[in-house]
Amino acid sequence: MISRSKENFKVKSMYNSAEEDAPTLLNKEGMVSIAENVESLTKGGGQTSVSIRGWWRGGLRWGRNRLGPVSDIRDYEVVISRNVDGGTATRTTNQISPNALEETVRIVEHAARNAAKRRVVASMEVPLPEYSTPVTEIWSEVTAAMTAGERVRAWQTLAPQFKEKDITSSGSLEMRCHEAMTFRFGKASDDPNDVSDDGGNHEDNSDSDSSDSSTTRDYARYTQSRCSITALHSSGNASGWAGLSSFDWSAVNGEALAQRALDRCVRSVNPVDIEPGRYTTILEPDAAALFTGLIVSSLDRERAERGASIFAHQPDNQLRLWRTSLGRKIVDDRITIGHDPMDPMLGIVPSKGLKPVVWIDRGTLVNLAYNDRYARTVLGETEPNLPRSAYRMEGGSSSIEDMIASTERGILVSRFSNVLVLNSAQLLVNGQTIHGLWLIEGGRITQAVSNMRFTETPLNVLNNVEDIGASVPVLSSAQSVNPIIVPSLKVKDFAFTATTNLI
Amino acid sequence: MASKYIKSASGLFFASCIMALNSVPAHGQVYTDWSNLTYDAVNYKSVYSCLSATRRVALSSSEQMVDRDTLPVSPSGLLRVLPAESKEVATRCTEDVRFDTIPRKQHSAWIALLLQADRDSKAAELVSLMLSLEPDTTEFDYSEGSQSNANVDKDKKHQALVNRVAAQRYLEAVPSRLDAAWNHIGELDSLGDAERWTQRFDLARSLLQHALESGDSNYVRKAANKIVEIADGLRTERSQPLFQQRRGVVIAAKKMLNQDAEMDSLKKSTESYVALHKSVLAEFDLSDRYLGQAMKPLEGEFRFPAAIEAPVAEKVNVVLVDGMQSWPLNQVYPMLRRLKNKYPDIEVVHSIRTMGHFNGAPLEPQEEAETRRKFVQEFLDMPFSLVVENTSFWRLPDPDKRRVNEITPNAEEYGDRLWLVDKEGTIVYYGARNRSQEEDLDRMIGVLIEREAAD
Repeated sequence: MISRSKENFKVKSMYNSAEEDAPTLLNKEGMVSIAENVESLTKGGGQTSVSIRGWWRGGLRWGRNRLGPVSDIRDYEVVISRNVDGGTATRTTNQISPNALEETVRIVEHAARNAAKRRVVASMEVPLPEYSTPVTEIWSEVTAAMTAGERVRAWQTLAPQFKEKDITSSGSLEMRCHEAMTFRFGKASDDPNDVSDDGGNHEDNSDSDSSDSSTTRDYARYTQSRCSITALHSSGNASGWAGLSSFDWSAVNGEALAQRALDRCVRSVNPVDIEPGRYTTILEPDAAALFTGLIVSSLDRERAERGASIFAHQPDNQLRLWRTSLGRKIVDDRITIGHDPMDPMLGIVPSKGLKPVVWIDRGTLVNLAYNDRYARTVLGETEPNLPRSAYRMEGGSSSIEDMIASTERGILVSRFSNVLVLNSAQLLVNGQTIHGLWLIEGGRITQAVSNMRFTETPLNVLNNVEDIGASVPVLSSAQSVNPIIVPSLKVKDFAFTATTNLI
Repeated sequence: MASKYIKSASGLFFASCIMALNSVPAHGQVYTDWSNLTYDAVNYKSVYSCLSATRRVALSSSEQMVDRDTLPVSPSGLLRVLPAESKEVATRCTEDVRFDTIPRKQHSAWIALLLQADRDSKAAELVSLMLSLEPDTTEFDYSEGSQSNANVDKDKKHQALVNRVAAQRYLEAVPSRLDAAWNHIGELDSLGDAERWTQRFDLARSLLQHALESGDSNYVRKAANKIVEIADGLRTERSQPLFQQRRGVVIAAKKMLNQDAEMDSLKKSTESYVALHKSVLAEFDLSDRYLGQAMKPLEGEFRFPAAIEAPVAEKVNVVLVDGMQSWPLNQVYPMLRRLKNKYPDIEVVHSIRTMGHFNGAPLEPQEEAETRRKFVQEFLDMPFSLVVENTSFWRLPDPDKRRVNEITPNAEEYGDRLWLVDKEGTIVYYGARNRSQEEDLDRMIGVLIEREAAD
């Protein structure tokens, strides 16, 4: 049951306003205060756990070179669980005043005692091992300070570039701050889960100020920011795009992104149709990310063991199971893909059991993703191998200019759109190019080309690699805030199947 | 066609039934989910949309888990009773029906709808109309009829087709109209070769199934007799795959008809019972390697109670073997508890194996066996003895490292089945692990206990 008040769930929307509104977070001290308040309100002994979460999201949108809504949304969430007289109950609230907390604690205790009377037993649980949470430094004061006014000022620095050249722009800025903390009171010393051997890079969250019967843990906070800009030429036949995300707004550099979107737009004017077919193709990082993203999103080990993934190798009729591609070379042997939660450029949000993983090591599949239950029951391991949408792909250091210079005839792709997976087991996809497509002849870009439709598979693309560029952060998708780090790729025989009238 | 927006709450009746069942203390739970019970009859443009509306409730009711002691053997029977909304929709849809305006291809659907509306006389009227019509090959699909028998005239083919369709509709109705269906099956017999034997057989099987669901022993016997009669009438067809696929039904029908004789033979001795059973199988060139054999002692590193030898000597044993770790067996556990409560002298033995974890938590074999004992004997409160085999396993080489379990001796020898063993240790019966075995087991255990007492 969730008790949610509009009082603390605040949404502000401003049009062409520079009103200052700094994000209001609880901070560690505030959370400890709430947890101590809850502890003092409990009656009847037993165990109590309190999870507190606070978040803020600030946005700004614009279209046709005019500022749109500038919004701020924030909320808190306090989850209180009580175990009293053999019964357990949980309630959630976003009201943090003492009176509201007391009311919630009373409700929880009443529900727990009722549960005890009804003898509600969900299942027979056996304690599971707990995983540590890596401590990452993905907090940026610059991002946290991006109030509505600051966001409007940031927009004002990039907007003039488009107006001056009579190009229509639209886009968005988004900032997020999150913080969370968990507490447990009552008989904490008897609970084996309260003993944690974090070691190395993992935070020891036990609070020395608290009493012996309470433990605080897992305080985490992080920031995220993203910027996406689309430019449309006044002729109506060319467009450009640029976008980036980082935990640190100062690393995003909106002005540079605006310049890149503008440049792509101007260079795409008056495209010509060319014959579809197989071309040597240079994929800029934003385009290459489509194929690497498909690979990373298919790393589920259980799916491969059911024969329903590109990483299912062949059935073993003797053992009645599917062999996977683990240990086999699957892509070009220069390619390495993995993630490290401590990589500040990736800015992965920390979670339990998260650890550095290499999925593909110099072309060989060395790891597949699995959850904690699979780790314990099938592999006899203690920790999961969790997938992440954020990852780093490496393998070369060439520049796009070098790749163009070494291409006799080919195509430069800046981005893909309208991508559809045709066959999930083989990852056969089709889609269209967008925001810039150019013909390369004799080692230089000769003209803009009309967008084309393609049909390809990631394994085919990553096996036909001729050259690999330096890895740079790119915006992974509209839904994800985390960046990914991928290089540009020069691949041979990329299959373009038709021309389209997409702008 | 009705135009009024229908919204009533007769689903509450069923909800209250379910609640009444839930009020009985039990260890398991039943979750029955009635979804949207709202109908809008004005939207029904054809007999097919009317039928869809009446069937929606039956299709949307979902039975998530049934492990209570208090439910009947076949809970689907409980769900088959149509809520009043369904009946009301059917009633409104059939209110102003005029048979002369109905296309011939819709006759079958209208019979179903009329029966849902409890307008049985109208349905019979429609069937009579269908029988009186001239055969029309464009409207009746003869390909599924007696196409192979070109000598049978079209009139007979038409009569056979109508009788078969009518019998099917009467059987599928809720509740099944067994009398009417039986009459049409009788009509089919009088038409001789107008129908293939497979169609007559399948209709008799359907009658048997619906009679069993209705609990009508008279029609169970009639349907079983019909099945045996059709099978006995076959000569060259008995070697064809079409018969091989159906011989299990014939054996079951024969056993139903021989039930009293079988029980009498079991009262006498297990040997005579097994001999009678094997004689039925021999008719179909089948044999059985388990019945009448002594059950081997079950293997198991961990036993609860400790040192128990299973099957237990000098007792009637029901042995549940789970070699695939498919437990908890929601259907079979409560059934075995009911049997144990009814016959306290029997021993229910459950053979399971370790898998290296319980509910995802990794455990050593000894711990896992003890945890599984707690789960079965204490948490689920099942009065079973447990024999736990320690599963040998190996791992695929790096980097795969998957655990591959070896098959255990009990699983290899006795598979995932339920076994009934008499006090001499002889296998009397075995079958699948579901509650459809309950009546048979109940009857046989009763005879075995009675026989022991007489001894």
